Amino acid sequence: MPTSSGCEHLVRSEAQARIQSAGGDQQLLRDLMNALSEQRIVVPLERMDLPLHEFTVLQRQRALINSAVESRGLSDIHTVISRSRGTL
Amino acid sequence: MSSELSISAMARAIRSGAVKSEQLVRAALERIDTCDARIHAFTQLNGQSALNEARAADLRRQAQGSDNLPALHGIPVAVKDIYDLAGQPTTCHSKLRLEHMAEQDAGSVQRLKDAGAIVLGKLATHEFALGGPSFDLPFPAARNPWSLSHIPGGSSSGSGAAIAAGYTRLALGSCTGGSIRIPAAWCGVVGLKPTYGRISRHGVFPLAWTLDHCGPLARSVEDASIGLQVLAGHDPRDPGSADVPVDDYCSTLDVGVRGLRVGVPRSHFQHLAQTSAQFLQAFEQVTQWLSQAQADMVDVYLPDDTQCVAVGRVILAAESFAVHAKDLRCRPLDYGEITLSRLVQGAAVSSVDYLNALRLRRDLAARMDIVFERCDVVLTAVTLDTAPAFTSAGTVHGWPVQTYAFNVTGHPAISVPIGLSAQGLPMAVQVVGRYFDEALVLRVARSIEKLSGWEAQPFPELAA
Repeated sequence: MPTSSGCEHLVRSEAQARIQSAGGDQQLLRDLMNALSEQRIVVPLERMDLPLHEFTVLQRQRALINSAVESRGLSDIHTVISRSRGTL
Repeated sequence: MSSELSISAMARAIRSGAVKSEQLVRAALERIDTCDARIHAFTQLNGQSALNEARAADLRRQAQGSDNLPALHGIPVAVKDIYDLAGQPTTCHSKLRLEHMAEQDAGSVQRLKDAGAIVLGKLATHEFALGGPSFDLPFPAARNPWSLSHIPGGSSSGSGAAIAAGYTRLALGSCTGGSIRIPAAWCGVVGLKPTYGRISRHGVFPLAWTLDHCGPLARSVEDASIGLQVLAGHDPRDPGSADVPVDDYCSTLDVGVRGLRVGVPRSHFQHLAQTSAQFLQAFEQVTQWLSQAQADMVDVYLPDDTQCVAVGRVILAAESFAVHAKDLRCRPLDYGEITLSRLVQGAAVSSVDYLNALRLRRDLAARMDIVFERCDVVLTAVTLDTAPAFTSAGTVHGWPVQTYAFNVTGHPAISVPIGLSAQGLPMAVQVVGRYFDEALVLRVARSIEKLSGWEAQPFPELAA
């Protein structure tokens, strides 16, 4: 069975064809497949459509956050992991 | 019977001897037996053990008298199937957890039991409180009692459905991005997400630690207040639990809204394409009611919801991936399709992405706090339209909801019903308060419940 990390060449060409035919972004597909591969997570190709749709949205949201952090000068905040004992 | 009487009325009836706990539990089980093959609110029903516990509660009342009975003595409740219940599997509605067995009760379940409640069973959820609605899981998806072709919302789908179907007046839900308030709004019940840390999450399967909240769904604001009174308090077993004094949530419920400053952030939702005309009309009606009740209505502006949602999703992706990484590597095909598609996103979130989301969250929380310098509570939308049909529901991200912001900031927020749409589906508004000011949030919600006349609203009959 083609997967996101096994038979990589086959999977990538098949998935790229699917993404391309759907007007999707091949770079996004590569990014997600690389990330899954690095984490040793195997997802069958036929189950990649929905993750790719979600990933497209997530990428926009990551960009929005990183841009907001820069524009609001928040990158100097170092004590953000303090949500314990009700600390807000 | 168990849903016709309020929790306080059931408690009074049990104390006076007018009703036995066994009658309440038996009535609940009969209702479930009649209706749940269509609603699918329960994943596990503990009928016999609930009856045994009810009989024991009746014997205790008979032997000890009615003095000093705890608040929920002999009253049936139910819990979302991500809460541990000793001796039962916490399935999280997932194939991955069918073999699980809980060794002890979750902290909040223990509080319910200590208060005398009888737990009827475990309620349906979206898989791991994340995906859904899904049809590739070991249990069916819960349906909306107001219309079986419509979703009940989620992820606490069974909790909302169980109350709307009249099985119980009080159920436990959990909320990471809106999973208590959304099913409450779409099922016409009350759903309270308290302040982050107010209710223990010990023994509750995590989705995203810094966004997860536990809370009650209930038939009325008074029922929810009684539930919160039992559930609130510090639990050192939950690293996020707050050691903050617990207010009296019931004594001020009927004080009203005279002189309160109610912030109205119309710009937060009015212009959105998903906002329905009938919801906007109903929302304006609520502002008029509150104004007539002599609340001071104030225009306010909330932090950008797009940023709130982005922060929530990136944090959720990173934290939920950490929870599920091992199973994603070993058993990816045992997840439902929607859940898998969302969980794998975390593989692509970098440490910088996660830390920047936490940085921006701190900024958003500070900006939200500034809003409360101008008002005592905020009145806003929970959902921008009524429940979608299963055929058009899609996934959670496409739903017309406005709940994520307060999971991100941690402020307490409640969904309270305000009426039915032209299609006969419930509509609701959201009341948000300052940190740990649940008493005021409940008080304003109670006023809205009275002003809207919802407390007299008949619920679906669901004839056999």
